[in-house]
Order: sequence, then C-alpha cells, then structure tokens
Amino acid sequence: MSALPMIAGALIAAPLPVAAINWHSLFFLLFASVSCGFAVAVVAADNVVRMAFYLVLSLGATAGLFFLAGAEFLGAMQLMIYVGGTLVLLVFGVMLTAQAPLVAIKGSGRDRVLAGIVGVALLALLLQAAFSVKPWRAPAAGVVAEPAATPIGMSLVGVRVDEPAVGAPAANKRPGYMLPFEIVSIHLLVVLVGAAYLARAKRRKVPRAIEVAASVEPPASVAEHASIGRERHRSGSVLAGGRP
Amino acid sequence: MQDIPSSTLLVLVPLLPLVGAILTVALGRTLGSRAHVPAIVGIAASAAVAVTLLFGMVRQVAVGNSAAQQGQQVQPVEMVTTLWEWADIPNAQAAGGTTAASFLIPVALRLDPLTATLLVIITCVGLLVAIYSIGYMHGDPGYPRFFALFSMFVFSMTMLVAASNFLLVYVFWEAVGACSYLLIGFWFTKPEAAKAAKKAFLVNRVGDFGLAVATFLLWMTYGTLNFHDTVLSDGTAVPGILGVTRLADASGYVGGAVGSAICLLLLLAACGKSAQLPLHVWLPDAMEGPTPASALIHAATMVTAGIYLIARSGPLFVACPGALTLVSIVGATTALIAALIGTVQNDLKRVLAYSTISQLGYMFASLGTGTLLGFSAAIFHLVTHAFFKALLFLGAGSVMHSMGGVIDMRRFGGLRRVMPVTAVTFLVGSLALAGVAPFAGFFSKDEILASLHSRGWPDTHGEHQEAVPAGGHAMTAGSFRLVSVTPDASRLAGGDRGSRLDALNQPATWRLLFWMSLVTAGLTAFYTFRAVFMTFTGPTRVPEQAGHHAHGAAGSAAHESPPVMTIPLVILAVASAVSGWWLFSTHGLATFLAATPSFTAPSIASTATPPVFHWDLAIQGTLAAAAGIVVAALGHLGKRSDGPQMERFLGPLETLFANRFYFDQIYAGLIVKPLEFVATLAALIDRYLIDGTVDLVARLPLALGGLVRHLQSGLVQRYALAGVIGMLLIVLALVARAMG
Amino acid sequence: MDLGSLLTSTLTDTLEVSLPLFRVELALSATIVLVLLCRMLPVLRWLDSALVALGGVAFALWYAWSDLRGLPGSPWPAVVAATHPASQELFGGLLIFDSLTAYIRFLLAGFLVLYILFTKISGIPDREDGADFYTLVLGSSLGMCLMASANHLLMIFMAVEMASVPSYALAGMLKGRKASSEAALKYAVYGAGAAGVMLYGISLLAGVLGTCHLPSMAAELGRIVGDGADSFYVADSAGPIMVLTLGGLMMAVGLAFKLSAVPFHFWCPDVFEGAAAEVGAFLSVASKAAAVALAVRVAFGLGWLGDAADASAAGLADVRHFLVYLIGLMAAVTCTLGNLGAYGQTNMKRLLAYSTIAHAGYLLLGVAAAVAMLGVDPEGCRKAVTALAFYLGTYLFMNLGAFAIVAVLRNRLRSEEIAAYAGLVRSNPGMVVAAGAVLVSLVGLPPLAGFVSKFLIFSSLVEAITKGIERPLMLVLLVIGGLNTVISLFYYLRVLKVMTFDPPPEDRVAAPAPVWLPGALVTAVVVPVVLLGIFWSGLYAYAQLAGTFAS
Repeated sequence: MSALPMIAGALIAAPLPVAAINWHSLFFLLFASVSCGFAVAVVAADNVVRMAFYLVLSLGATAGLFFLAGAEFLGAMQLMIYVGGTLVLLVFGVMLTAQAPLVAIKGSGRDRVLAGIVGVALLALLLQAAFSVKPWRAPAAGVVAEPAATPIGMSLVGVRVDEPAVGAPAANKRPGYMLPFEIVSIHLLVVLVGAAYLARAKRRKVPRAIEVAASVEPPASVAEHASIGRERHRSGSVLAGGRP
Repeated sequence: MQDIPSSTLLVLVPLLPLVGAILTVALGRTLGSRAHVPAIVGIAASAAVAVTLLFGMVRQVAVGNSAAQQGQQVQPVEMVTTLWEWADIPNAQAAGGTTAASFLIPVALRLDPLTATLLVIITCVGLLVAIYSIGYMHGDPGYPRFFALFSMFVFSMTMLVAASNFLLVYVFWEAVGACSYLLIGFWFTKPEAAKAAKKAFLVNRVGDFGLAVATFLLWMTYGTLNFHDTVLSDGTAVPGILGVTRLADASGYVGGAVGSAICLLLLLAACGKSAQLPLHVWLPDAMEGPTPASALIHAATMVTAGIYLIARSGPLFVACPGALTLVSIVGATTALIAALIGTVQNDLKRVLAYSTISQLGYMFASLGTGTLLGFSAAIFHLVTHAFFKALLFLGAGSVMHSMGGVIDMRRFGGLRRVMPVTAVTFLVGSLALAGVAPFAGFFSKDEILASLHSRGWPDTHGEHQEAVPAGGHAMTAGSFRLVSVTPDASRLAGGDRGSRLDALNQPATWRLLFWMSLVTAGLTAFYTFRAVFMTFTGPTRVPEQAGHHAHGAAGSAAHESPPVMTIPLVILAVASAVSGWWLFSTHGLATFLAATPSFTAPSIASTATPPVFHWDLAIQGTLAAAAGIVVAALGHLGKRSDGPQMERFLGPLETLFANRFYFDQIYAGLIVKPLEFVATLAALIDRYLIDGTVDLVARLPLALGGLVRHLQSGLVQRYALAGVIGMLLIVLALVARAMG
Repeated sequence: MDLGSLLTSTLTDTLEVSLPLFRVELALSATIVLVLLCRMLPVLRWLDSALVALGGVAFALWYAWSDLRGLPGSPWPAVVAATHPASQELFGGLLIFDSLTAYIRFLLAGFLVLYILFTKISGIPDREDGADFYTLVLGSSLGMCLMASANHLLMIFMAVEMASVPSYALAGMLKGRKASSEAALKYAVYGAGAAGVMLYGISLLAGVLGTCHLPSMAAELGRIVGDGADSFYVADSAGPIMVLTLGGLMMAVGLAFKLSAVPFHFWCPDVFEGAAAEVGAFLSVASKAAAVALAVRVAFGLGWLGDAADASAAGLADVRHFLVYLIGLMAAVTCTLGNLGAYGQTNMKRLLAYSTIAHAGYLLLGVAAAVAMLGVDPEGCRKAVTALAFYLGTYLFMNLGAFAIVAVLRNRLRSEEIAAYAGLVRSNPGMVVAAGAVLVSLVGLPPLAGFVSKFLIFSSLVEAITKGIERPLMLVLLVIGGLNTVISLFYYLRVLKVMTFDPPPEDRVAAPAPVWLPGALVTAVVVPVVLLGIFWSGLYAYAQLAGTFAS
C-alpha cells in the first residue's frame, strides 16, 4: 500500500504525463475519498433512504480498497455480502416500511456538536495510533498477494497451505478455520430463526392472560411516582431524538 | 444408648426443637389451638435425649476419674462431632515464612460436662415452661407463632452451648438474640413492647459487637476459632483455642494487652447478653414479652449465655488476671445495684427482673475469681437459679394470668387464699432465691461467697493458696507460696496495658467484693419477701381486670390457674427445694464440671480444693438473709400492699432507687440524645444530601448540563455517545497515569 | 509438508483430540437442529419443544459433568481418574479446554436445565413460540460456551457475536409490547456498535502482534513491551505500545458491553425492563458467567505465559499492570453507578438490571485481584479465580431466583412494579420469604450464599493487599466494594419492606394462577441460595478446580 507522502506528491506535481501517473495511488485516493466522504454523508444525511444509498457507495469503495491491496477474495465478499445483500435488503426494507418518524431523522444540534467533537477526538487518536507503527507506514517487503481462493478455501476446511508472512513471529500459531466455518452455520440458522420469529405476525388474535400481564403498562400513579430516580423514557422512536 | 452413638444423640438435641419449630410454622394454621403439639413433643424428646447424654457423660467422667486416681490430674472429657466443614480453605503456601492460618470452620458440636449440664437445664426447664405456656397463652391470636419462636429459641440456645467454635457461637449468639427480640415484641401492637424490643435489640448490639471483634482477634491471635483440636485436610494438626493440646501447654494463652483486649471484649459481649452493668437496662423492659418467654429466656437460659461464654473461655481469662478481676467487679457491682433497685419496684415482674440481673451478677463475681471453685459455683448457681427463677416467673405469670394482666403489686394482695398452689410454690422459690437453708439458692450462694472469700482472705484457704492465677503464667503445683500479686510482678508478666488492669487484682478488692455480695444477699432476701408479702399476705384484694375469671371458684373474682400451669410450678418448686442440697451434698456437680476441658487447664485445675462446707460463711449468709426477711416482714407482712410503704424511710435514696440509679436517663443524656441528634442529622443528610445525591446520580446528565443530558434517555445514539466518551475518558486516565 | 500429511494431521487433531472435548457444544447444536426439526415435521409436531430442548440440554449437562469430573484433581473423579488432560488446545488452538472451560460449561448447562423448566412453568414462551425461543436460547448458549473456551481472537469475536445476536431477538420476544421491541432494537444497535469497536480493536492487536492466538500474542506482547529492541518493529516501541493499548481498550469495550460494565451498561436497564423477566434471567446469569470467563481468559491469556519464565515475562508485568488498572477502574465505577442507579427504581426488573450491573462490578473486582496476583503470587491468584467461579455458581441461583419470583408474581399480580408487591406477605408469605432470601443474599449478608461469594472476593483483595501487590489500587477497590455493599443494602431491603409492611392495595386482583408448580420452582432455586451459604465446601471444591486453570 502506498504511503500518504507519495499521494501528496502526486497531487502537487500536476499536470503530469499519463505515464508518470501512479495509477495505483490514484485509485487508492479515489476509493479512499469516496469511502470516507460518503461515510460522512451517511452521518450527515437526514433521510433514511439517502443514508442507505450513501452507505452502499461507501462500502463499495471499501471493496475497491481491498482489491487494490490485493485481497481479491475479501473485496468480492465485501461487494457480494454488504453491497449486494445487506444494503439492498435495507433499502427495500426502509422503502417498504417507510414511516414518518423514520424517513427523516434529525438529531438535536447539541448532540451533533458533541458527537462531532467526540468523533474527531477518536479519529485523531486512531490516526495517531495507526501512523505510529513503523511497518504500517511502508509497504511490507516480499508480500506477494496470491490471487487465488485456494488457500482460503483450504483453510476453511482446516488446512493452511499458504506460506507464513515473512518476518511474522516464529511462535505464530496458524490454525485452520474449520471450526468457525462450521459453527457459523449454526449461528446463521439460529439468527434466521430469530429474524423469522420477529417478522412473523402472531397468529393468535387473543393473547393469553400471561402475555397480557407481561404487557401491562404501569398505572399512571406509579408512572408519576417513577420520575424520582428513573431516567425518562422517551416515547416515539428510539432513533428519533428530541421528539416530544 | 449403647446402640445409638452419642454423636447422633447430640445432634438430636438441637434438631428436634428445630423440627418442632418448622412443623409449627408449616402447620400452625391447621393445628390451631393444638399448635403447641409439635413444639412440646420436640422439646420433650430433646430433653429426654439431653438427660440420656448427661448420664452417659457422668458415667464417662466417673470412669475417667477413677482411672486417673493416681495422677490426681482430672482428665478432660469431651466429644466433638463435626457435622460438616462450613469452610475448608487450606493455605498451602504460607507467604513470608510465617504459617498463615488455614481457613477451616467446621460446624462442630461438642459434648462435655459443662455443655451436658446446660443442655439438660435448657431442655428440661424449656419443656416445663412450654407446658405452662399451653395454659398461659391459651386463646392468644399468636398462639402458633409463640410456640414456633419458643421452639426456635430452644434450638438456638442448645446450639449455642453445644457449638465448638467461636464463629458458630457468634451465629447462635445472634440467633438467640433474634428469638429474644421477637418474643419481647411478641405483642408488637403494644407500643411498650415494641419499644422494649427495640431497646433490647440496640443494647445487645453493643455486646454483639464485642463478641464479633473478640472473634476476629481470636482468629488473628490463635489462627483458629475452634474450641477443639482439629486436623486439617492435609494432615496438619491445629490446636484448638480450648483444645487439650493448648490447655496442657502452660504458656498456651496470650496475656498482656492482646489477651486483655480479647477478654474485655468477651466480657462486653457477656455483659450485653447477661444484662450486667452498664448494659443491663434492657432486661427490665424485656418483661413486656409473654411471661413464659421471660421465664425461660430472660431468667433461666438466654441471659446465662454470658456466664457460659466466660466459663467456657476460662483459661483465656485466667491468663489475664486484670480482666478476670474486672469480671468480678462488674458482677458484684451489678448484683448490689440491681438489688437496691429491686427493693423499690412495685411491678412483680420487674422485681424479678432486677433480681435476675442481681443473681447473674453473683455468677459473674464468682467466675471472676478464676478458681475451679469459682467456676463451678457459678455454674451451680446458674443451675439452681434456672429452677427457682423460672419458678418465680411462672408464679408471677400465674398471678398475672388470674389478675387479668395486672402485675402491679399495689393493686392486689392476700392472694394466698385465692391461689394457694401458686402461693406455696412462689414461697418455695423465694426461699431459694433468698438463700434460706436448705433450699437450692442457699448452697449455690454459699459456694459463691466461699470463692470470693478465698480470694479475699487467701490465708484461711491455705491449700490452694499458691495456685492463685497470676500474671498470665500458670503456677506449677508445688511451687512456693506466693505472697500476693503485686503490680510489679504482673508488669513483668504482661504487657503495659494488661498490667495496669492487673493492679485491680488485690486482696483488698476481693474483700470489698465479698462484703458487697454479702450485703446483696440481705437485700435479695428483703426484696423477695417484700414481694411475697405484698402479693400473698394481707387482706385479699383483686383488681377489676380479673373479670374474665369471674366464674372462678368460691365466688371469688379470681381463681387458681389451671393444672397445666400449676403442675410445672410444683415440679420446679420441688427442684428448687432439693436440687441444691442434692448437688452439694454429693458434691456431684463440682466433680463433674471439673472434667470440662476448659477447667482442666493447669491454671484452673490446680486451684481445686477438697469439698468443704464453710460454716462461717453459711452463718453470715443466713444472717444476712434473715435480716432481710425480718425487715421485709416488719414492713409488709399482713399489710395492705397499696398502703404507705416503708420506702419512705429511705428518703432521697428512694428516688434514686426508684429511678434505677438514673441509668436510663444517663444513657438518654449521654448516648441516646447525641445519637438522636446524629440520627436527625443523618435524616437531614439523607433527605437533602443522599436523596440529593441519588437524584443527582439518576439525573447526572441534568446536572452536567447539556453535555450528557439524557444519559439514560432511552435514546440509543446517546448511549453510544456516552460509551465513546467513557472510552476516551479511560484513555485520558491512562495517558495521565503514564505521564504522571 | 505435503498436503497429505497436512490433511492427516488436521483430521487427527479434529477427530481424536478436539471433538471428544467438544461434546457439550455438539449436544447443543444437535438440540437446536432437533427442536427445529420437531417443529417442521408434521409427525413430530406433537412434541413440546421445551421437552426436546430439555432432553438435549440434559445430554449437554451430562457431558459437561463428565468433562468436569474427568479433569485431574477433580474432587469427585471419574472411576478411572483423570480421563482428560488438564489443558488441551482444540481445533489447532482456536479453543482451549481446561478446568475453567469445563466449570463454566457445566454452570451454563446446569443453568439451561433449570432455565427451561422455569420458562416452561412460568408460561413465557407459550407452546407456539417455544421452538423459536429455545432455538434462540440454545444458539446463544452455544456462543457462551465458546466464549468460555475461546483461545483465539477470531473465536472470541465469533463467540461474542453468537451469544449476542440471538439475545437481541430474545429481547424482542414480547411482540405485542412496544417496550419489548424498543428494547430489542436498542440492544441490537448498541450491541452492533460495541461489536464494531471490538473488531477494530482486535484488528489493531492482530496487526501489531501478527497473530490472533492468545498465547502467541502474549509472547509477542512480552517481547515488544519488554525491551522495545525488536527486529521486526525497529527500535521505536512507543508506537506499537500505543496501538496495543488502544486495541486492548477497544477489545475491552466489547467485553464490557457483554458484562454490562459502566460506561457500556446503558442497554441493560432498558432491555431488562422491556423484555420478559425470563429473558432478563437468561441475560443476567448465563451471559454474565460467560463474559466473566472470557474476561479472565483474555486478561490471563495476554498477561501471562505460564510458568515458562523468559525474557518476555518482565514485559508482561507491565501489561498486567495496565490490565489491573483498566479492570479495577471499570469495576469501581460499575459497582458504584450500578448501585446508585438502583435507588429510586420503581420497576422490579429495572432494579434487578441495576443490581446486575453492580454485581458485574463486584465480579470485576475479583478479576482485578486475580490479574494483579497473576504470576506474582500463584496461590493468591488461584484463590481469586476460585472466588470468581464460586461467585458465578451462587449468582446463578440468586438471580435466577430473583427473576423467577418476578415472573411468578407477574403471573399472579399482573404487574412488575415494586409498588404492586405491597403487603404481599399477607397473601403469599412463602413467596415473600423466598424473595427475602434472594434479596438478602444479593446484598451479601450471612448466612446466605451471596455472603460467602462476596466474602471470598473481598478476601482475595485483602490477600493482594497483605502481600503488597498493587496495594493502593486494591485498597481503594476494597473500600469501594465495602461501601457499595452498604449502599446496596437499602434498595434491596426497600423491596422487602414494601412486601411486608406496606398495606396491600385495595384494588388488587390476584389472578387465578396455579400455585404448586411455581412454588416448587421458586423453592428449588431459592433453597440452594440458603444451602450454599451453609454448606459451601462442595461447590467451593469445584470452584477451586476451576481456579487451577492457569497453572
């Protein structure tokens, strides 16, 4: 991966002949700015559908970064799973269930300022951290990305056929990934069942007594009393702040 | 007996009342007016087992004594049953070279002569009182509750005396306290009862605190809390605090400051439970509870727990002569002051309550002598006192029952015609309490006086003179005569603080204590017979409250109590009459108790004296008693009890006595008022500061303004924000740490 | 190495070493499939999914028990002593089987048995929802088992996700109720955020250390922190250390979320109040046990290399120092805010949520003590882990009991407000006695189980203090723990006060609810709370076994 000074240099020294353009850096710059820019746009946008769209762009650009880094498999997965799957689902979901409180989400100004400050602080911290590691600032020598899915596939059945990275610690334990691969299938099954359960309408019209009991809201007098120590519960949407 | 091992029997003694209590709770409503059945059956069976165990123990002691005839050393007899290990955390690796104590707390019960004696007293007196309660509590809405608590108390008390480590003792020390609290406040709708229960609870906390700290100090000092020697799971043996190994070791007990501190804390605990100065104020008020509870808990058994504790820890005390002397001083002073207060009380139960405090003071005085005679005399008095004081309380209860709840002696009189059985049995009890020969109290009181006398005038008790305990070192038999324990000698022996206390240990002190006790004996006879004369002689008068017994015998408004109440009275009267003579003449109790491990420590065992009847002391005691009775007779015999009292001769002293030496007022001024002030302050702090703080914390977001306004606002993005801020704060803290 | 030998070694490792020690998880997975099959196939429709789940979980419990029993040094060993090695890496180092794994898995399986009985009796879920509910519960428990045995960052992340995601759906189980859906959504969003942060932290750690395998990471860590003179990282070690710190912190965020430690506890009150009491019981007990085990595992895995003392050991002392301060700080704040937050709560479930937070704080105190003594004083460290394991064992009964009482009372009174419990002693004395035992045990008063647990935790702090290990911090923690115990007394006892002294509301309509089964259930859960306070050597012996895992 190219380092930032090179990119800066490429930016400053313009115009340049096409042959002199470091295409790798250019694409990195492109994907990175798309990814970051639309990530900011997701946060800044008020409309859910727009947010979803910006997110698709941001994640798609991230897939491009993976390709640039030589991780073709990861890039493909990123495209298929996030861009192709999750986000399309989200967009459809949002469009189908679009309701007034969700279409426009507005945080309070104070929240935005605070979140901005905190976010910038965190970003500064992470940047500082990331650039403080010397090996991360220069390309690791001798790492040749192998554009093949074989090592990945083999490691998913538990056998590591790829060579360990040069300079990696000797005591590196390199297990195959059969267990996660298998166990995640159980997990996905469970999660699907859960999703189906939440999506399914309850067939019985009259709930049983117990469920009524469980859904009893506190009587008014208690609710008033509750205001002593209990944090206020906002009615309305969970996400929509500042609404009465 | 041969078939069932005595360990099983020992477990049964507390277990049966516990089962009784649980059954009463479970079936109370179903059983209704028969709710007493499980409790009584449980306690009766427990009493039978306890008696069996006592006989077994007596046989064992006799065998041990005859075997050890040549060596002259009494062999300790004990049997320990470990039910389960409550905690067993071995400390495999002791840090820093010192042997860190393994944390081993077994739930172990023990049986030795002391425990066997007390078990029999608790269960037998408990049984009689329980039977009596069938009549006394009849028709009370809380009938099942009473018997459940009663049974629970018998369980806790038997566990307390059978427990074989200090932690277990502490647990059941609290348990009997809880039963006592609940029984004092049995009629909790009565404000006095609720107040009395609260008072008993609070005062007892002071004592319990002493026991808790003492337990902790014992753990720090001896590395174990067990009475008996134990073997750890890894095979190492730990000598118990009162186990045979440590007892045989002449330097096994710590004297000096630490030892004294432990002893003083134990004394504080004992003072709380046994209502000794300055913690005696709760007991008179505790009479608000049902009379049977007063009889069993606040006269016969629970209040003697302090005596038991000090007797059991005898070797610890003997190693700290100063603390030991203080036990006697506290005891004799309490005895005198309580007796003085008792002389002017008009409430029959309160007279008995002060008498109980006074008699317990006697026992303390006797324990403080630190001699074998003193210890056995205290337990002897404990036994006889249990009989006659229970008898007196039950008699008072019988009077109260007939009088429709009235217990003020000025409002009735001449009851001997109305309730002859109660009158006769009460008289027997009074004779025993007053120490009139040949009733029980005479003999036990004589022994107590003898034990005090032996310390005050050592020369006249030559045989055991050299073994008077001194300065934390047990004297070996045959060492030459020690002139007296001078402060200098004890300073060499103990630490600084210990020796300052040890300065109390002077023959002059003991002489004073002896005289105080003798005066108390006279006062005891006086107030006892004052009560007898006021209640049972003079013209017959019955208060109008005795209404519900209007259909009683002979057309009188009141009548004798039913047989279920009088039969226990008769049994207790017989015991009060003969137990003293029997136990003294055979010298059985003293010999038996001498085999208790705690009393076989060389420092105690070497003070053994041949059984002697001290004619001189007996005569002095009898004279004192006679004087008291004569004065009482002059003042009250045959007179109307509501007439002018002879107290007017006391002048200002009467006010002092009647106000109980202003103890309550002093406490109110010195402790309660400041505490109330603190409590008010605390309430204010609670209202404004704590509530404010809580509000602040719950609304911390609010307080911190817009920054984290709705911390728990229900808005998930704020939660996330707060989380990130928290993380950044942690980073800041870490950075600050790394910098600084 | 040729492919053939690679395959053979993988097969051997999987079939002969790993799977026999993976039976508990296999049983849970099989149960999930069975529950779904029974729901799907018309022939098996008549089978109650609760019964199927119970059967499967019983198998899991049996396996967990035999795994525990087969360990060397087990208090009650199998017929042939020690059938398992004391410590065994499974699946090429992704998981580890040792006494801590076995103990936590046994707790979890035992909890599941009780829990399924509890839900069956309390009526949530009803039969129709049973299959979904138990699938989610079992799936989540599977993740928790993996949390207890994870030995690799990948597995740690997966296990946390596997435990969390099904519980988001569980929180939304009461579909008719708005608060429940809201709780589920909040939980999911917050959980996703925490998972993201954790993943970022994991990638930072893995990036710097070049491995995800905990012991290998510890070795690297020791090297980097130890001397800084490192061939790979070229002299300036300040950079990696900062990244490592940040990575560790971000990973701690994920764990703190699972533990509901402040400041990542916000989901807890809302979720507990919104979700059914049954779900609350699951989240507060099982989740907590797994999270504590994982925290211990990560802290020990990163902070200690075993007895092999080499050059990196010195560097790890600094790592431990960092961890102790991080955990200790979090523990102190969590305890305090949890207890203070519980004041003034009017809803019993919300109160229990804060109580859960506070107890997470107490547990973290124990973790801090354990990490402080790690490697310095093996005996003390073992005792601290023992205390934690014991605490989890008793906490299982205490909190399950508390939530069972809430559920039973909800069925009877149709309310979960504390005010609705007023004067309950007159109509349901047994339930009040049970509630008293549970609440007093949660405070930590003798002679109940909670006292022993808290006592053990505090005594391990004292042990660290007396041995002069991290003394100022441990002293502060001890004081804070003690103060918190005092604070907590009041809000627990206030519930009891309401139950006994307050007059019952006039308009109370007691629902005609069955008495015997709920009564038996509450008794079965509460009796151990009392018994474990009196006879605790048995459980303690097994907790001690768990404590030996690091040696």
